[in-house]
Amino acid sequence: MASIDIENIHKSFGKVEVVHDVSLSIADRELVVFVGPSGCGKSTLLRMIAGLEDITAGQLRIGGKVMNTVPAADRGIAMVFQSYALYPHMTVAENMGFALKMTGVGRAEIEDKVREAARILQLEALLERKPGQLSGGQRQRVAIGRAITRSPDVFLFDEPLSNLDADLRAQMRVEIARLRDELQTTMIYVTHDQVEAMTLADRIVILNDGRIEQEGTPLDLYQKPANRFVAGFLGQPKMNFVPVTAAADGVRVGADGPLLPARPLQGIATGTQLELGIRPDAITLGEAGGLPARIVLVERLGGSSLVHMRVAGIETMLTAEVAGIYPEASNRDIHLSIDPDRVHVFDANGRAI
Amino acid sequence: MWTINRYPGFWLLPALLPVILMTVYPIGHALWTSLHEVMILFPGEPFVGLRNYERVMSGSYFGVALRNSLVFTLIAAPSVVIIGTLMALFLQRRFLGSQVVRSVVLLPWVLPGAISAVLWVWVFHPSFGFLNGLMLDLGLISSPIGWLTNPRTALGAVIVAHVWTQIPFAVVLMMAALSAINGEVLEAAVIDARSPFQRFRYIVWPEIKSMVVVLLVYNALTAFTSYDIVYAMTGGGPGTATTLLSFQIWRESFSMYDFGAGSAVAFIVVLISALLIVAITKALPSDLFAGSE
Repeated sequence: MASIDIENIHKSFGKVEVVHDVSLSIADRELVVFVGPSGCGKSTLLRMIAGLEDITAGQLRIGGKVMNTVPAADRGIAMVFQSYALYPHMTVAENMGFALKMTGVGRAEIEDKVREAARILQLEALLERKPGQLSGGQRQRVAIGRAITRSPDVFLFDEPLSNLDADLRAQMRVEIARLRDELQTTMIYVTHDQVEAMTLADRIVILNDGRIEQEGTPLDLYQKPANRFVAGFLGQPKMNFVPVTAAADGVRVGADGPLLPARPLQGIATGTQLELGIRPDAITLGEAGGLPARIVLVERLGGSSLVHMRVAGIETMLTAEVAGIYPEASNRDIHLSIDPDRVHVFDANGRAI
Repeated sequence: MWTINRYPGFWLLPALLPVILMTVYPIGHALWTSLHEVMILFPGEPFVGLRNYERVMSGSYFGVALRNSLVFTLIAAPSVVIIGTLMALFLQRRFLGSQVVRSVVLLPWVLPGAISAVLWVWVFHPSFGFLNGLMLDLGLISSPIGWLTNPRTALGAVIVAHVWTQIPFAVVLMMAALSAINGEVLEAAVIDARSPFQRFRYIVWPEIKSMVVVLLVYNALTAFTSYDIVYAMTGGGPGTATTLLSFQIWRESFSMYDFGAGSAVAFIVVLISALLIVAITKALPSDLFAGSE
């Protein structure tokens, strides 16, 4: 059993507090992804779990045992770093067996474990090479292999794919997902890439400014964001935000601008300042009905097209995602309609209503 | 055409000329001098073969100076590297006032050898010295010791002074070597190995080994050719207790005006230095001179 319990954890560097009162429980064999913008505290939180940073206040338990002051080497964790952090003077096999050698495991057993990890990651042919002779993707596989040989209770990944190019990143993402099924171990994965978060996670924890904004399954967070930050962070292309005023018959842009559809708003006084969140794929384009708009730019991605438009009375451009190749050109007038069931409404503090 | 392939020597001239003028020519000239009788008082410079070498090596002065120089080198060079490495490891840490300590450590570097010598003469002074005062106060000795006037302690005292002057350079190079290690590699090591000693032995040491070899070679040469601080502190005495080979070069050349003999000693120093370099690089194999794979 290797559940992880984080209770009211704080982290300060000098007088600056960077993680504020974070509490979180991670179940055994769960894969949790910490995601958030740079500087949100996700790596700091991971490093506290790893034992690389002191915990200023609060309690950390792994497998029920308090770990606050336990040395990193004794926490039963293994970590994969962004820069791979392979030992440059050791061969691949020595890198993978190093932790076992340090705990006095016999040579034969180390060899077995290294060979097993090499098999899982298809590294058999590279065992005698030095890290300097490997490509980025191979190095990252060795780094993961080094973590596997330790048979840890918990795997920690700190932005492991950030240094890889897009192709390799997609490939390694699949590999990590496969590995996860094979190893059945608790994993925490830190990334700023929402695709990795959405595809890998059992549960996503979205952090911002040292606090948890929301946690839940990927689809939950996507479909029911608790606030404007989460709504804007998840989803590619980004959600459109439109400042509106509550009206008797829906919401209006400005005081008497165009009327936009929204779910019936209960308990919201007319005239309240709100913000609508509209996912690009919730907008449909047509020749008539709905709001008049003018196309500014069309980005054709092949499988889908992004149509950027201006709507009278709305300051920011709206983006719609349309399946297939959208034929219309810029500067053409069209009409857009919005699915009221898929519109998110946020109050002045950014909380979802 | 002016291609690099056709005139390689020409394109190398900007690099070769200074080396030829400042290294090859003086050494060649010294070799030539050591094989001739070159004395200011006697005109003519007849070829004498190895007779200069025979003469400087036959006297008892040479044996004593060689022994002192070797002892000096074998103690000073490793001491500088070990203390320098330990201090660099310590100064890597951030602590209150670490910036100040880092600056203070560099202080011996900026002092001229003669000034350092005066400073250490006062540390070791029998009547007014800091060391005797301290040891008397602590009750470690009952009467003052003449550190620089006692043949048994003089060599040790000048070695201490020499080591002190050389440590800053070692610390700076070693800190550079340590800071070149990827921080995440050290963190990976923290997760893989509990004991700091294991981490040093398996992760840090292989990364700084090349620098240790460089520092050992450099310090062996510096110690083996050391002159100023020892001369200023003891003048080679008491008796011949701190007489070094470099002193004999000076003595033969500028006291006896026998430049042939002086050059012969200088050449012996060059040969022994070369042996020291080979011995050190053999004893501590590193990929320093092998080139990268």
